[in-house]
Parts: sequence; structure tokens; C-alpha cells
Amino acid sequence: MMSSSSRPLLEVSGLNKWFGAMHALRDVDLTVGVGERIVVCGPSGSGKSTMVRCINALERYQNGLIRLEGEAINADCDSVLGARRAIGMVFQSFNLFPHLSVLDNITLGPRKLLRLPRPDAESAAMMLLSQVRMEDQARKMPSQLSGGQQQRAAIARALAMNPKLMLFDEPTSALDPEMVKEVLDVMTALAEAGTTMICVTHEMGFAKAVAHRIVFMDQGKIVETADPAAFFAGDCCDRARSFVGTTAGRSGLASSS
Amino acid sequence: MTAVVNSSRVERSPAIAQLRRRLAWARANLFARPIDVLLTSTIAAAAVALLWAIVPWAFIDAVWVGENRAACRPDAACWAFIVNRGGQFLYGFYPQPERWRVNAVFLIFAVSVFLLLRRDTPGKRVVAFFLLLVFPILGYVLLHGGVAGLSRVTTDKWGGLSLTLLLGVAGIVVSFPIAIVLALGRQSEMPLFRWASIAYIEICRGLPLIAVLFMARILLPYAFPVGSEFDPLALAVTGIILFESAYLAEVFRGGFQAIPKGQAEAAAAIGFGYWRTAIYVTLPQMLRVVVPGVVNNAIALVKNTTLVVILGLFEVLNIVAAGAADPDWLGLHAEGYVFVGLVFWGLCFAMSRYSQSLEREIKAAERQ
Repeated sequence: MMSSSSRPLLEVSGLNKWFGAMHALRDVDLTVGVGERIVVCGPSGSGKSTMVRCINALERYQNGLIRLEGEAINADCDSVLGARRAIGMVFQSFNLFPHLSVLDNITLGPRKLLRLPRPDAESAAMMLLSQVRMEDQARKMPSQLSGGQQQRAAIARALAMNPKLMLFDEPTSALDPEMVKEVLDVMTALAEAGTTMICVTHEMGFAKAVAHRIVFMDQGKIVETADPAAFFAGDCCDRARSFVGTTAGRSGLASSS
Repeated sequence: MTAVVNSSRVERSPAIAQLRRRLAWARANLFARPIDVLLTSTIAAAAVALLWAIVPWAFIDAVWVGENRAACRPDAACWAFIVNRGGQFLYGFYPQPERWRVNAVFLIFAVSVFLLLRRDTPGKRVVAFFLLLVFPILGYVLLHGGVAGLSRVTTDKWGGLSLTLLLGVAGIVVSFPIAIVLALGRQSEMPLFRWASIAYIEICRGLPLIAVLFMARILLPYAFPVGSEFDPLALAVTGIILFESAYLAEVFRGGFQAIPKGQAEAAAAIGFGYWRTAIYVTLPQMLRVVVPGVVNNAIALVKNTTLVVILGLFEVLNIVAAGAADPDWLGLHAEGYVFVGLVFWGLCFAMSRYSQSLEREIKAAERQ
């Protein structure tokens, strides 16, 4: 594990969230070190996405503290915007800007927030596009791309801000099966390059291959945190074991890739 | 010999084939069953009867030149009235030697709009800045004069089609940014801004334009010291902007709501705050959605400008109606209203066609 630095990159402590009467997150604690790769799994409705969305303040929460490099991400605007710049996010539904070309999608943040001149932003974007194997699609509009290509472009867009942490919120769930692999391959390459990431996914093969730790959530709680070997050996609670059992089919499919 | 026969056959056959296709089409679509034959012939007869009544009146017997109504014929259109008064219908009472100023204003407007809408104009931002901020002032100075050697032409002299266009353009162009602010305000999380926007929209949208104009004329003088003078044109433009910005704001709100929530979230995830998200992500997408709604409003507005007669302004409809009350041309209402109807129809049809081509272009740009 690479989380040997003195200070953790991200600390989530005592996170509680209610949607009306529904207690969506219960006392969630999570610490992520620099270079660490966390896979969050669990049944649907267990609060995985909500937790990830709280980390970059897309979702409000009632209780708890989230720190990035020791700095609290408060309700105040500057700390939220600052944290969002430092945290890249990839969504289930890609959310590329449909009125902009792939290249403009990627350079928009660097040009307008980091004030990079267009040529610099574009040459950086082309490097990222070659990293996600999309360099020949730079001038296309999002609607001309397949789902897998859109998601890879979205990953490049998030990387363009040089994030310290990448959040993936079920990045392959909206994809046709034959496109899942191309996106997972890109994510695996990112992992190998040392990117710190928190990834909500049902792809157990990816989890097994890439994660330092697997966080298992159920009913808004973190039930189990284990390293992949122990987790898949069924060396933990019953709930997680039965979950691993039901996703065995997926796991076989993805690990064969 | 055979070659000649062959070549003539080759020349004739496409025409014959086309005629055959047309006949087959007519048989299939117009004369398939007895009821079709009956319907087709009834409608054709009605169309012929209508043309029989209109064509001689409007064209064959019509009078095109003349100094006054003595030249007219009682049973035919007298377009001499329109030809004779054409200058006035276009420019109102704007003095003849100064009319180039009106032309110049519309020429500048047309050129800058053309530059703005063309896809690859360099420096579009400069053009947009000019059109929104410099042009209104420049246009007013040119039309009103009183400086730089231009003689003063007070607004009560402005009129005709140029006034109609002026009211329409000012109404849309000035309302546009106001409406964007109102639409953003209506969705804002700041209570005061939101409530103010909702109140404004609901009040102005709930009033008929004619009532707003009446109030401007009758109530406003009570609110100011006796003897205060109001420029009727300024009142009309203000009333139209109040009214139009509320309508456009609702069109824009609909456009904002058509954008998936994920778009604003993706912008937020990059680190964009409220304004950057609006300017670079949601506004450009909203504007693509609302083209039909905006044009629909513009068409309604152009026709609503006729109501400024309440303030004593003579836009194209009222100046033509007034012309028909002139002793020289007394009673030529039919010609006047047909002409005005054609003018308005032409304006609105042009806007409608333009909106359709713009929609096609936007779709093409997103697929490109």
C-alpha cells in the first residue's frame, strides 16, 4: 500500500445524511491515503453513490466532516469549489456537454478556471485523449460517440483538472456489455499510474485486480472494509458474502478480460 | 434514319414518363373513388370562383398610378393609394431629406445581425458587444439627431413600417438579457431574488399589453408632477419591454428545465461556480432549445406593436388606416388593410422560415 504519507488525502468522519425520513448514510468514516485505490460496493440503495457525491459536495449532508488534505470542505462556497477542482468525478451517465466537441469538453475547465491559453489546454487535452485512446475523436461531438467512447472522454475531462483524487460513480453501469471492458481498461491503466481513486462499481473483477481496499456498504453503513483477497475469500460478514455470491457471474466475466 | 427516330424517342421519353407519373399520382390521390372525384371538383370550383373574384379586382382592373382617388375605379383595387403614400407608410412623418438616416440604422442592424449569425465570423464578441450596447445608442442618435450636424427629428415624427420594426427589434433585443436574468432569478436559491423575479413575471404576464399601454398613458401622469412630459415612444418601448421580458423569461425557464440535471452537476464537479456553469454550460444549451419559443414570441410581439396607437403613435397599420381617412384617398380601406396584412404576413413568415433554418443548423452542429 502506498498510503505511507504522513497525512491522509481524504478523511470522512461521522457522515450522516437523511433524504427526508430516509437515513441514507449512517456514521460513515473513511480515510484514503495518497495513491490509495478504494472500491465501494454493496447492494443498490446502500448509499454508495450518495457517499461519493457527498465527498465533492454534490450532495448536502446533515452531519459529519470531510477533509481534503486536512482542510475541511464546509458549506462555504470557496472551500467547496476548491475541493471540486481538486477532485475529479466520472458519472454513470457520462454527462458530457452536448454543445461542445470532445476537445472543448476537456479544455473547458482548464481554460476557464485555470486560465490556460487555448493552445496549451488543447495540447494537454490531446495527451489525455491518447491516454484514453481517443485521440482520433477529438473534433467529434458527444452525440457521435458510443457510450464507451463518451465515458472515456468524460474520464479525460475529469483528468484535465489534474485532480488529486478521482471519484467514479458506477462508471460502467450505463454501458452495453461490450463497452465495459474499454472503460475498465482505461481505469486500470490510471490505477497502475498511481492515481488515487474511489470507485463505486459492481465490476468485481476490476475490484479484485485494482483495489487496495474494498469497502462494503449496506443500508447506509460501511459494514466491512477489507483487502480484496480477504473480501473475496468470504472472510467477513454474511451480508458481504452473499453479495459476493450473487455477483459471482459478473466477477467471472470481468476477470476474464 | 433509324438514328433520328431513336434520338427523338430518347429525348421525348423522360417527359412522357414524368407526365405518366403525375397522372398516376392524380388518379391515386385525387380521383380514386367517386367521393374523391366529387371533393376534388368541388374544391377546384371553389378555388376558381375565388380567383375569379380576386384576380380582376386586385390585378386586371386595378389602378396603379394616380394623384388622388379620382383616378380610381369603383369596382377595382386602387393601388395608386399605396404607391403614392409608400414613403409615408415606410417612414411615417420622418422628413423626406432625412430618411437616409432610417435606412442607415436598419442597414447597420441588418449587417451586424448577419455577421453575428454567420458561422465563421472572426471577432463575434465585438459584434455582439456592438449590437447590444453601442447600436441602441448609435441608432437613437442617428434617428433623433440634434448632434453632429444632424437635424433634430422628434419621436412624434417617427412612424410607419420603420416604427413597427423599431418597436419589434427593441422589444426583443432589450427584453432578451432581462428575461435571462429573470429566468435565472426564478430558479435562484436566493429567496429575495427569486421572489422578486416571480412577482415581476406573474404581474407583467397577467396583464394584457393594451392595459399596460393604457396605464402608461393615463396613470403615469398622475404619479409625476403636473406638466411632466412623457415621450410616447419611450412609454411604448418601456411597456413592450416590461411585457415581453416576462414572456421570454418563461420561455427561457422552460429551456433551462429541459437540460438534464447531470449537466450542472458535471460543471460543478469540474469546479465551476454558479456563473461559470450558467455561462458555459446551461445557457448555451438553453438557447438552442428555445429558438422556436422565442420566434413564436417575436411573431406575436410584432403584431402586438399595432397597439401603440393608444399612445398616439402611427406604426404601419395605423398610418395606413389614417391615410384612408385623408380626403384625397377617402375610403380606400380595403386596399390599405390588404397591404398591411401582406406586410405583417411577410414579416412573420420570414421569421418563421428563419427559425426553421436555425433549428436545422443547430441540429446539424450537434451531430457534425
